Amino acid sequence: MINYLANPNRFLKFSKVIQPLLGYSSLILITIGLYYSLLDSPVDYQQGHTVRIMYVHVPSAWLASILYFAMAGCAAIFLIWKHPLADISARCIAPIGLIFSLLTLITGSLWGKPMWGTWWVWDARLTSMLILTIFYISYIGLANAFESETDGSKPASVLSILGAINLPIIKFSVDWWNTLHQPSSILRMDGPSISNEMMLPLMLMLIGFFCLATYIIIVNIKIKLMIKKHKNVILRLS
Amino acid sequence: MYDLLDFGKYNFYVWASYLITFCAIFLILFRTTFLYIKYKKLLNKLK
Repeated sequence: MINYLANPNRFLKFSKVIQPLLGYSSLILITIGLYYSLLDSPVDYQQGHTVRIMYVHVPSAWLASILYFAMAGCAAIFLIWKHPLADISARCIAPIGLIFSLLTLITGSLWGKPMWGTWWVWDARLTSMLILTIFYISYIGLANAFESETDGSKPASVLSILGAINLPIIKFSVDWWNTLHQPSSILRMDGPSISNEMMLPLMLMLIGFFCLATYIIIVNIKIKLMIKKHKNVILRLS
Repeated sequence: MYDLLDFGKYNFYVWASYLITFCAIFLILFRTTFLYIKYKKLLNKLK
């Protein structure tokens, strides 16, 4: 599959089929998810209505980690097999992942203030998420720090692979350390502890956000491929 | 409808988180679409 899609022409053919599918499914899933999360999901007995922040906070946090994993995977493929499309993909994933990690921190603060009485604490989960955001920023900075784009690809790829160590730390931080952040309630050994009425909007928003992020990344890859193919002409015309 | 969307004392925090999230999503979506259309038009000039 990786080798098949490594060819830009085949990737463009594949994207023609998958792009509208992702676009429409994200629109439908997020619309239904919004209805359930704002109007039809139950109020938490302790947190009241603030629990509704979960339906944007948790999908953003998951996506920030998933996208980092995908970015590090693309970076590894670029370093091992030297596929230029893998480098382009990693570069396109980074800004989208950064946006979702920033959204996680902002919506987390907005959830923390009414529940914990503070916008921020140096808690293991919050700090590891902040480190992920810093890794995203560092990757983007390093990848674009050189005059020639290709010079930045190798060091940025190495950095992103090193940063992947942070992903299990984020996941298990709530188990390894005493944190103010609540423990995992979905990915647990003994099954999810969250009620089905809350699980439905959460999953709808999560899959919807995932489809939307993939859609945006595919369009960004297409733009990069266009620029790469016609670089000289675009520079002359713009 | 208003009653359903009134989250009491948590109104600000709930609405602010949804507003910021969807503003950010729409911004990246618009930027991507704008760039795609811009370069597509530019390349169509060549043909």
